[in-house]
Amino acid sequence: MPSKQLQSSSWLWASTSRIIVASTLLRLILIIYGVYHDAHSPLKYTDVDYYVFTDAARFVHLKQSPYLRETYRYTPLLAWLLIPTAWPGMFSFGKVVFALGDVAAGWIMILVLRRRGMSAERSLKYSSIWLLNPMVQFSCCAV
Amino acid sequence: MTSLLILLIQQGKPLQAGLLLGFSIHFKIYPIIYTPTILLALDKLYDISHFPRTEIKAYGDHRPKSFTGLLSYLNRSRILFSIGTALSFLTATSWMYSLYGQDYIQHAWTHHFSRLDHRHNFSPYHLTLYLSSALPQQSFTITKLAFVPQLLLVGAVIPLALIGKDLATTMFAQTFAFVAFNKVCTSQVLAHLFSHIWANVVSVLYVVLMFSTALFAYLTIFAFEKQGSNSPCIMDYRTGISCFVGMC
Repeated sequence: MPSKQLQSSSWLWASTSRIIVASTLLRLILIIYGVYHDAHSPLKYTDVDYYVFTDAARFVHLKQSPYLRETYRYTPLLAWLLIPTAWPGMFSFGKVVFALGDVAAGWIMILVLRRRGMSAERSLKYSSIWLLNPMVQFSCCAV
Repeated sequence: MTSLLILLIQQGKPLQAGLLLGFSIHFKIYPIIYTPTILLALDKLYDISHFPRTEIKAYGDHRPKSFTGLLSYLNRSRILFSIGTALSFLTATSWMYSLYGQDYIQHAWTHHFSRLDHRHNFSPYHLTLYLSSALPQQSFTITKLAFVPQLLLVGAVIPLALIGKDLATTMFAQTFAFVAFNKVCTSQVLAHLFSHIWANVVSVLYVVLMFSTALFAYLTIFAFEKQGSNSPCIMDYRTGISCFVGMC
């Protein structure tokens, strides 16, 4: 039946929360995979830059300057934001922060498109290019 | 950040948009390229919140006839936006400066303007940068000119040429041009670039840009020969070319 087909093809695009939850879950899975991968492989999943950020955060945690970390060339605010990564067992905290920012950006995209008069389904499809894109996810979860 | 910026402009909140942009510039520097675009979009019609909310054309109906158009057109939203940008940028930056002093300026600012990175570099200038890094320190190299087409295009040509077009599209064009003409383009940036909807267009354009590196390489070699040095770099040059062909 055509009506049933239409329904089944659009369930993913039927609600905003479904896309948001799906994209959050996909990112969480990748972050957890990253923890597993890094523990078992000499070739790290985590990007070098993330080590730079977290090392700088560790210096800040010890009340020192983040610039003691070589190649840290960002605002100290970034190192402050990542101070929790210096706490035991919280190394991936920064990835969660970045992933949430990533999802928030996608959610705002939906709002922007909706305000411009785009239909809900279309706006969800467009923002999924960001929210469900594996390339975006890999680069945000490895950082 | 960028999506929130567009949303705030869309909601008619120039002050908040400015505060966000100023903070973003403090954080990442590059968002400064959006300043002229947004200033142009905040025209007289925007001031009285009269802007068409259509899909094709969102903001920026105002078409200045010359560069002075922007200056002669001071209005409420432009002033609020500028105040917001200056306020948050200066607050954050001076606060960090007061805490970390010269270290902060050196690492977070000076470094980014003087950086010459010839490693992990996918930019069209990669081969020139790599080859010239082997030369003894020169007072002037062609790579120093790399920022001219980039800033001209991103900061002036695109914002002015796309006046009256959609704000988000203009900002996309700027970002794209900024990355494509950047001296440094890491693999992460490249992955981001390819991941977008324009991936096919991007890859075609990218290959074109990569071919333009051959031109720069020839210029560098030419500079070599003019110096009369039978340099050890000729070997590197051949390796470079084969890498280049391999990448294409």
